Amino acid sequence: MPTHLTHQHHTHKLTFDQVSCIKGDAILFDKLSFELHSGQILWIQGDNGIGKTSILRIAAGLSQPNEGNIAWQEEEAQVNPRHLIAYQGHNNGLHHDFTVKEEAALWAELYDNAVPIENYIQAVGLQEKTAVKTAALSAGQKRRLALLRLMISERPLWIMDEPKASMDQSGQSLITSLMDSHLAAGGSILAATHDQTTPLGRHARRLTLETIQ
Amino acid sequence: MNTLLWRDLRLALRNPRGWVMSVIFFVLFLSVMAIALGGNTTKLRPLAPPLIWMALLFGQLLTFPTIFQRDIVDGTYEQLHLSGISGLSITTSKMISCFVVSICPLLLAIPALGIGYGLDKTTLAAILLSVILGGPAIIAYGIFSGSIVAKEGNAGFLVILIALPFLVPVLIFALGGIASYRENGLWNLEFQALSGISLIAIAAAIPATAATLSSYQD
Repeated sequence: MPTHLTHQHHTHKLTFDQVSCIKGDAILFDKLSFELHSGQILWIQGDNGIGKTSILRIAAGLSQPNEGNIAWQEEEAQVNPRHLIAYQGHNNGLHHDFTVKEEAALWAELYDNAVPIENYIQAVGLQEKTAVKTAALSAGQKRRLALLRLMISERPLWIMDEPKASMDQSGQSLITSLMDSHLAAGGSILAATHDQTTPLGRHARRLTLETIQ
Repeated sequence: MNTLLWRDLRLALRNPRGWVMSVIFFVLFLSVMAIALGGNTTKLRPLAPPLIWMALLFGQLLTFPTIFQRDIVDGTYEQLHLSGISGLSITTSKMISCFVVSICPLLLAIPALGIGYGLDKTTLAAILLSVILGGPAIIAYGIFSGSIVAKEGNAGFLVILIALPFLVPVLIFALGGIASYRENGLWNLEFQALSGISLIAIAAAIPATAATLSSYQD
């Protein structure tokens, strides 16, 4: 990411304390604890349906766990998760009827980001597509547009569900470079993939979920 | 708030399936009714207010299921929530945009249809006033019932069951107000009650809708 688009982040921390999640009869995870600090990346890895997305949604404050506590802190003070989190879900969260430029402009306004949106659009490689409706974009291009929102939000903690899904080679290296500069600027990342082979980021800590026998 | 309202208006105008259907229904229903009743204006004139209100209610009921569907399904509601916008703002903006796209076109259509029904100016003015005063209540109950069924695919029938009981008092006071407009003037008791219903409906529907939408996050 070009340096003029990187936002320097305050120190922050996400804490999972003995968190459990039950869906129906199945215990997805039991007494999960971890901490994620500024500049760190935690890579959650596991098969489909094992609870990766549940962890991410709980970490984003979008779902409640069955047990346990989650704390979001910025400079040692408890904050609302919405001050820390930018979430790239499985669902891209784009408006079908908006063009790429309108979509970017909407989020720039809502996040009060004054940097010209063209810079962000360029950074994710969608400069040729500014007048195209998001519904007409390819799956990978939609992921790029969702990445653009992560950058525009200037939130320190990125939560990413299968970030490299449907991304081509250049898209994958784009994600890697965005992640690296986000971490270098004091941000942190919580990401989940089912892919066991490709490590996500060079210094990622890895949390592997397995079925309880 | 302006950003949000501008977003809702643009989305509504670009994806007009819901509200255009209600406007077309409104016009077609009243035209077909005029033909079915023989096209004689002396017979049509007294029937115009109840027919217009029936067309209005049934037409609006068609739009309710789609109000929040897109936002919930494509995940934009969630992203708006994460960006720090309150559910109250999201709901208020949706209510204003729904009023603009689904009630305002009817205010233009009613005078045109009024000519066909042989309405005099006073009755026409009373009908327009009843729609302006009662419209907010219709939209308020509409967004509330729309939020309840936002995750359901085919929820048209459920919406009718939820919203119709709330809409009956609106209908009664609107028609009562039109009937007594000539003797008791613009600010008659029925229209006062209708305005009261609209205010209560708005005050109740905004937090109720916001609460329903936030319950989808679990």
